[in-house]
Amino acid sequence: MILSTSLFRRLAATFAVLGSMVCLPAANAHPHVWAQFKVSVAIDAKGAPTLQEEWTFDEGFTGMLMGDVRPKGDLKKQLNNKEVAQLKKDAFDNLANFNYFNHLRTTRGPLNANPATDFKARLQGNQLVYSFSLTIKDALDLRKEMLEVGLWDESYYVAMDPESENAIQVNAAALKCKTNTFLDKKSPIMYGMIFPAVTRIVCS
Amino acid sequence: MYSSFPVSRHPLAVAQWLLLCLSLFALLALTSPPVHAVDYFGRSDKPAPDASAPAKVVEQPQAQLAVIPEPIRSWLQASIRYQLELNASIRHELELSKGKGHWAPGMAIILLSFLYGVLHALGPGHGKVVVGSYFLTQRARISHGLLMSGWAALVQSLSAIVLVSVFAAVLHFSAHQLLNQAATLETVSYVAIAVYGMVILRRLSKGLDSCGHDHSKDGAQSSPIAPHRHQPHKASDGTPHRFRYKAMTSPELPEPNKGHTGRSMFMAGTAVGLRPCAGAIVVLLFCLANEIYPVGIIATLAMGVGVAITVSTVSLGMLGVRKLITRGSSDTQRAIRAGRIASYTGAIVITLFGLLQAALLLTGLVTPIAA
Repeated sequence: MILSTSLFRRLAATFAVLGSMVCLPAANAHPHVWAQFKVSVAIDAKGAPTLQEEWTFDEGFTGMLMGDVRPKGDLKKQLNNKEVAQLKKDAFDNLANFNYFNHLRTTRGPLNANPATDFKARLQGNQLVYSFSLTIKDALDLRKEMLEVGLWDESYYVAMDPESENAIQVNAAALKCKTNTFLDKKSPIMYGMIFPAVTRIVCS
Repeated sequence: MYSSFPVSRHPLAVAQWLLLCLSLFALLALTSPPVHAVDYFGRSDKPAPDASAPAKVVEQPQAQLAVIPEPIRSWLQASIRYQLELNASIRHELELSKGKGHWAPGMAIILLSFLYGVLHALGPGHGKVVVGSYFLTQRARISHGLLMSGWAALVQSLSAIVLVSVFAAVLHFSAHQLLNQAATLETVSYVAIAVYGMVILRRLSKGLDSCGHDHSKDGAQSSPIAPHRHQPHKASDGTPHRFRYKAMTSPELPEPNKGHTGRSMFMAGTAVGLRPCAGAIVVLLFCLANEIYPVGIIATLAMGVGVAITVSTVSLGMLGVRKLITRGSSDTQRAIRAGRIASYTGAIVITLFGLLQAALLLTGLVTPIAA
């Protein structure tokens, strides 16, 4: 026997700590961008939802983006159409590849969103605000099945925070719907440092 | 036979040359189009999806290997909340400092940036894996832990300052372009980390490092060039001594090679810190746009001090873990063998970590700057 049991245990303990450290980098980034969101889920008589979303970015990210949009990143005057178009092209459209950080699920599994429509951007003090609408690409009838809605970036480069406890609200005149918001412990971010909030919508 | 080439004089000279080459590579990389483009949200830039294409199943977020236990999870979560608040406070103070000579906002910015750095480095990144692995598996002193962590944080701050100063302030790159150049530096940093791991391996294979001092002055048998069998150390009275940090400074032991240590710390810190922190870049760009760039530089350096405190804590913690694990081990050939196995494993882990991360970045499997 090359190593005694005691030494073997010491080495095993060393490797266990080492292994747990090496696993950590896969947890991706700490946040560099913060965005507060609110979502209004409009449901029509046929049970098809449209998500109207509003994201408010932190001052630092706003300053960095605006520095690329206009000289010296001036925040005093509102965005014009050309600047909004530039923001859409450079700092929004690519998110279509990542479902705009929307995690939409039914009992059948995850759902895809169509490319966003009605994109608008405005300055609110020193903060940039995006608003847009999303429809769901997959066939969905909320009269027959539930929908879960959550917004998070699983890499956590962007910290998506709900604006309030009721950040996801339902607007369904033709249907009777109930919502239930909970922390999704099956989708931990940063090794469970964060559990994203998910709202389940059940209509009849 | 090696005297004509500097590499022969010292194994670390190899790494110095390699690091020089990598620095040149970094310069070249910075002036060429990035291999892997990222957007403002740290995501790969891709062509927009085809709206008319049939829906395909969205990828489920990957289940993570472990969940941080309570109450650490709550503390870390709170640290992220505080970061947001500090971030907003820093912006507010930066706004106040615009065009005014008041010292109060400046002092507040330094303090807030320092606190932000402490909290920001609690998350993954900032070289904690490399520095922690090194101090867990290699024999080192407390001062080494502090030096390496501090140097790595300083290099990381300087890296961000140089990047923004040259590319944004002088060459007028956009933030989008700058983030892509930072992503290139990230890849270079991982390659440098792999090279550093290889250097540790080479030193171990030459019978150096695993005992905290080298044997290059012990005699011909244990010279850096000729591999030697490592014998238990003996004190002046001939009795074997235990490996303790205090003991390593006692007069009867061979003098630690300060040149080796200094160069080693320099290399490790440079490799780890080459990758600039996106948080520092955002602050610098904000200050540049608001014509308060010197304040941004001071804030970045203060942030670096905060990062150094957190990374130092990790490295000291790992030194403590190593001390606990090896406590009471007798100075036998078996104990030395176990120590050497741990040292080799640590060096291999650092090498593979650097290679794997670089490969993942180059193949596009991992998005730069988000890692």
